[in-house]
Parts: sequence; C-alpha cells; structure tokens
Amino acid sequence: MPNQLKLTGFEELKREFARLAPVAQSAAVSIVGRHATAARDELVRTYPSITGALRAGVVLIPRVGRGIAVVVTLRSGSDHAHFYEFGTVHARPHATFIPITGRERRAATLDVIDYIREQGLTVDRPHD
Amino acid sequence: MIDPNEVDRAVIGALAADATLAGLLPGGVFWDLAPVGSTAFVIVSLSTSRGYDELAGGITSRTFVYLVKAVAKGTSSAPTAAADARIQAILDRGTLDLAAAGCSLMIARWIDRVRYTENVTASEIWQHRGGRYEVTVTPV
Repeated sequence: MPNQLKLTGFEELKREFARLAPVAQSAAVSIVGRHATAARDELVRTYPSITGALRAGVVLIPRVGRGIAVVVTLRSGSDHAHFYEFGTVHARPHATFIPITGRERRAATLDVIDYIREQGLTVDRPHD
Repeated sequence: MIDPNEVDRAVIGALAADATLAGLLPGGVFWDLAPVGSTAFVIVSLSTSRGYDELAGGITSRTFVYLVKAVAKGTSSAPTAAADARIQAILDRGTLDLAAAGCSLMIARWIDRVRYTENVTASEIWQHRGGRYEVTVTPV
C-alpha cells in the first residue's frame, strides 16, 4: 500500500479566509486612514508657512487597491516642495516628508499586524 | 556604542577620497550646504534614521538614510549625471571606513533617485542630481 497523507478541512479553511478578508480589509482601511491622516496633519504642522503654498500642497488621496489592498497616497505637491525637502544652492535640505510618512507607515503596519493577531492568526515579523 | 557623527564623516570621507568624483565636481563634498562661491560640488544630508530593537530591548543596528546629490551651475546636466553615476559606484554596495564610528557596515545601498533644476534667476541655473542611500550599521 502506498504512503498516503490525507488532509481534511480545506473547505472550512477557505471559507474562514474568505470571511476574514473583507473584515480585515475594513479594519485596515480604518487603521491606514488614521495613520495617513496623522501624517498629513503632522506634515502640515511641520512645514513652515510663508505663502501657505507648501502646506496647501499636502493632499491625502484614498485609492482603490487591487483585491483587498488598502492604499492611501499622501502627496506634497507644491511647486517648491522638492526645494524645501532636498535643498537649494542657498538653503539646506529639510527632510520632512520622508521621516514623517515612514514613521506613520511603520506604525500602520504594526497596527494592522496587531489586528490580524487579535483574529487568532500568526504574523511573522515584517520586513521594513 | 555607535557614533552617528562618525558614520556621517565616513560617508563624506568615502566620497571626498575619490579622485574621479573630485575631478567631476572639484568644489568638494559638504554637509548640507556648500561654501559661497562653489559651483560644482557634492551635498550630503541626513534624510532619516532609525534603530532596531533586536535583542532584549537593546538597539543592535541602526539605519541612516542620506541624501547625496551632485550640484553644478549651468544648463548642462552632463556633469551632474556623470557625478551621480560615480556616487552610486562608490556608495551602492560600497564600503565605508567605520573604525571611528564603533560599528561595522551591514549594507550601504541606493534607495531612490532625486533630480531637479533650480532657477535662481533667469540666467542662473543649477542642476541637482543624486539619490538617497541607506547605510545600515551594527555595533562592534
């Protein structure tokens, strides 16, 4: 008789995953949205305001992700944002956007992981 | 203990020691701002940094992300393009002398690109070209 490995419960597992995905996505939308908003607010607070254009150029754009992906884009779009962030001949760089968004992105990832763990699943340490 | 200031110096030192880069941008390599009068130079600036808690709450490695850009006066982008390529050759998967920094290099790598033109006046134009580089170190 050949060796045989029989696994059962796949259908139940598939049904559980199918049930979890929309719920997890809904939670992730809330978590990512909260951190993206915090990043936007901090960016606006941190940018100097002379003409107001730098702060006015900060825009939060929710997007429809593929599948259950949750995507929010934060953009600093004023004409001189890159001069402020990366510097000019006469002004030093003021790295602002990248540190703030990086911190909030990491925090959002950890919060989503916490949520998934609360649902009883195991999540390995994420790569940065 | 990791001395971040010495990590900064190691990055600047690696760039300043390169004769090819010095030939392309003879003004030199500077932190944040170049001296008045310089017309072709390299700027190094800290973009962001973070530590990693790996063992018993102790920070075992740190990542520093540097903005490194070639800056040159003029409408031609050729000098900054050549310098950008040379900077990448030095820093991307390159080596750094971190003996004074109390750490060893885990990886130095290119992350993303920065390029823009600055019009100070209608007749004074500057080219900025470079990238952001991640330098991850661990204590020795």
